This record gives sequence, structure tokens and C-alpha cells, in this order.
Amino acid sequence: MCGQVCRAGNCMTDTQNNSLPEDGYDLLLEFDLDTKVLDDQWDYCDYMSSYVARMVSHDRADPFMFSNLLSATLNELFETVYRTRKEAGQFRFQLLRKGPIDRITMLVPCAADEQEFYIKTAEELCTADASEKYLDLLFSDEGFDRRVGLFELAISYKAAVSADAVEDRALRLTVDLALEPEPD
Amino acid sequence: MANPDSASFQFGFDENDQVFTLSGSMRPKEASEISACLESLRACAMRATGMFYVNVRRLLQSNNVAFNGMASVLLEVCRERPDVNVTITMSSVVGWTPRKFRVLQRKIPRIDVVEYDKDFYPGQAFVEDSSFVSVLRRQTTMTWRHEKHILPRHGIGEGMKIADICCGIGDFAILLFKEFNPTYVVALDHAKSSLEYARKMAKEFDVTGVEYVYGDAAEMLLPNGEFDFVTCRHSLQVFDQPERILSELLRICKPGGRVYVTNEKNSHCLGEPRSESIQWTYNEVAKLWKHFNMDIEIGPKSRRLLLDAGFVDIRMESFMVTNLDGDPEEFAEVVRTWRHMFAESMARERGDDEAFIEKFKKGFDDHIFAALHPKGYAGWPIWVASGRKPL
Repeated sequence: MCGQVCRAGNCMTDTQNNSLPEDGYDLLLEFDLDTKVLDDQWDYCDYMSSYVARMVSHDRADPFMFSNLLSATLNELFETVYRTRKEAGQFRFQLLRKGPIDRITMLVPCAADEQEFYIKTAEELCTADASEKYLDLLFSDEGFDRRVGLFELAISYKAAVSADAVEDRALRLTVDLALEPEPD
Repeated sequence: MANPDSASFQFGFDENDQVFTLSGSMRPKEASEISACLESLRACAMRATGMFYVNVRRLLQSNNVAFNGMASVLLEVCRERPDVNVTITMSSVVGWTPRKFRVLQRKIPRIDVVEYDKDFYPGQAFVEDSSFVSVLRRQTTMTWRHEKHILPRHGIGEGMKIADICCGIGDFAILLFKEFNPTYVVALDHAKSSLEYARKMAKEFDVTGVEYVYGDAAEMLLPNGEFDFVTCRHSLQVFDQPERILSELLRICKPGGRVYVTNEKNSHCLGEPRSESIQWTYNEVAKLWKHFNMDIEIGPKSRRLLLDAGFVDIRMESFMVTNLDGDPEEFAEVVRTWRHMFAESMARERGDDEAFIEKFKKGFDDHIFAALHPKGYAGWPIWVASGRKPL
């Protein structure tokens, strides 16, 4: 078991609340991006993850190490979103922080079948064989599987990953990460 | 070997050592974008004999597409060439690599995955001993009395971006920050216990402008041409290849900026009375360090090393820390720590007999005696050198 909390399938009706920090989290950074732009620009995944990681890492104990890890995790998320069949609209990214936890939320306009796909994937992350499934995906010789990024976050980075349907028009991915080791 | 795939990452093969090196950032959308690299990896591995190394120490980023591509090639190599052993060398400094490549090792136990910088310089175990912290702090206090006047002669000024490489417990970086009002200081070291101490100290003194970074001075993640002034104190002497460090210091320094190094020549430590015993012991210290492939005599060689590394406008001077600079007890305390480190740890590690160790210790005891003697004099000489990076 990966140990993370799954909120797969919970529907949010008050979408306005999506932009508000919750549970004592501070909002560090957010942006919106037209899904058309994201669809056209693979390189943006790399640019955004590197830029965001560097922007929010300066007050961590080891900014370079933290930035390297955060960039790796963000890139997997951005690439996951890139490979999602998106609807027209605004992709919204937020990075929130509470103590050692960084919470990343991504609101992705997409149809119901894509919502279901990721909600099911988030459920799979909580199953007993999630680690084995991660290895199967990572070393698959049947081509790239777009679920591997979320599995990596849950298994390798011990992230809490959840997926929610936001009404019938968007998917919200929420990932809680603790990337710095506890002080000795 | 040229890299036709992308400017964001590089690859190459050293036939002599059978090392395939990947560096930069590898985040392709499709495996086909890195096909030249993967084909080269496959070809090099397939014609290897014995041990084949894959060096990812400076592969700063990779995504799952690239990883899957590399893993597929290595799986194929392991399957088709059971006579070839694969070792992946990674750096603990590049955070994502241990997480990912340990997974590869789980999948293919035949592949050995090692962190190359676990013991990457000869005296690491001695120098990174956390019990050494108190003496490092005292040494900085003693040398700072001189260096704060010397540093401006070597080009330091206000408002600079400064890097302190091999920062140890970070106190010198804080002193630089307070004295010279830099815009930004990055302090890098490879000892996690020292960095932990440094961060605590910065917090205690409410210093927020110093970033303490875990890193390997021989292969830093800091960008090219970033810093106006780069310091590296008492550190070239603990590496067996100081030219590798100097090359990195040159790389991160801005064109026109300066790199400042300090080093010792321990055999020139002196004291009166009991000078002969003191002299003998410090000559032996130099031999002891040489045994561990370190050069504690490097101080006067700094000018040549800087010139060979490509610096120009070399400035060089020396100063003597003495028992008369402040409280003589400070000086004595430092020598006591040397006595413990050199005679108890290093000499025993070398396998020296008790008679030698006793004689060796006596020189330190005599140095302490000279420092505390009401009419005595004890000195510890240090060489300062700096060079400018050409425009």
C-alpha cells in the first residue's frame, strides 16, 4: 500500500473555491494557461517545471536539492496533463505550502471519460500491488503509459495523489509532496 | 562524440574507461527524439568487455520517456551480454537519480548502482567528521581577523554575488555577508552535518541572504558565469585532484570576476620554545597527508595552480595566525584538535606504531606549550591567492 489518501470520485460543485487556499495552506504561485497553448508546446512542461521549482525553493533548507526534486515531480505532472485529452478552456496550476508539505493542484478541462480514467488511476495508487504495477509501467516494452507519472509520484516520492471531477467539465489533480527529509 | 539529438543534453563515450556519460536535461516527448543517444548507448555497451559504466552524475533531469528508453537498452544488454557487468554511477547531489536508478536495480539486480561521491575525496571521512565542527569555527575566528583586511585586496566589494565553495560549517559565508553586503551568497559543501549546523547558525543570527547547498565541488550544479567572487578556503588541500575543483570555480565565476583560495603549508607551522620537536611533527603531518593522497603543503603552489587553470592577474600573499592574535588558548585549542585528528585518527589509520604516535603527539604538545608560554610564540601560516577569470 502506498499510504496516500485517495479522494477519487469526490465531486466539487463550488468551483470558485478552487482558487482559494484551504486547510492553512499558503498560496505561493498560480497561473492559468490556455489548453490550446499547452497542447502545442511540449517544451512548456520542462520550462514550467524548472521555473516554478526554482521560484519556490529558495527558502527550503537546501534550495538546489529541493528544486531538483520538485522540478522532477512537477514535470511528471505537467507531462501527464499534456497527454490528457483536454477540452478548450483554461488549465489552472496552483502551488500551495503548509510547513514541509507542498500541495500542487491542477485543474484540467476535460470530458467525463478522461475524468474517470484519472480517478480510476488515483484509486489504483492505493492498492496493495501499486508498487508492482509501477514497475510494470516503468519498464513496459509496450510503449509509454501515461499513468506512470502519477504512479511515480505515489511510489517513489510518497506523494498523496487524488483526482476529483469538477462538475462535468474538468478534472482536478491534487498532489501533496514532502520532498525534504526530516531533520536528524 | 557529437550529440545530434538536442542541445539540452549531451552524451559521449570514453572508450578507454568504457564509460558512457549522459549530462544535462533529458525530457523528450517520444523516445525517437533521443534515438541517436540510445543507439549509441546500445552500441557502446554491446562492444564492451568486462565492466561497462553509465555515468549519470550530471544528468540533472530526465523524464519517464527517457528513463524507459535507457532501461530498455540496458535490459537488452544484460540479456544478450551476460559477460558484461553494468555499473551506473550517480551523484547523491542530483536528487532524482537515487530514487529512479534504485528502482532500475530492483528490476535488474545485475546492474550495480553506486553513488560515486560517497567517498569521493581521500580525507572525506576525517574532514567530514562532525566532531571537527568546534575547531572549524575557532579556525575561522582566527583567520577572519586577517582575511577581512586581505579580501578587498583580492577584489571583493559590496553588492556582489558570492559563492563560498567547500563552506564547511558556513560561518565564513555569514562573516562575508555581514562585512561586504553581497546581494546573494551561495555556500556549498558536501558534509551534511556541517550544512545542518550552518543552517542552524544562520537562523540563530537571523541571516537570510545565504543559501546553503549540498553539493560536490568537483561537479557543481551551479550555473556558468554566475558569481562575481568565488571563495574556496582550506579545501584544495583535501582533494587529490585540486585542478578539478579549480576548473569548476573558474566555470561558475563571471568573466572578469575573481576566485579566492586559501591553503596551508603545514610543515611551516612553527613555535618557540621547543622548535625542533614542533618542526619534526609538522613535517610528519605533511607526509601523513601525502599518504592519504592529500597535499597539506599546497599553499605556495596556489599561484601555479591558478595559472594552469586559466586564471590571469594572480595576486598572492601569506599571513601567519599566531598565539598573539587573540586569546592564546584559542590557538592551543586548535592544535589540540589537530593532535587528535592527525595523531589519533589518521596516524592510526595509516598503521603507525605507538612509539611513532607518541613522538608525533609530542610536537603538538610542544606547539601548545609554545602558544601558552608567557614568552612563547606559535604560528600557523596560510597562503592566499586569487585569480581573475579572463573576459
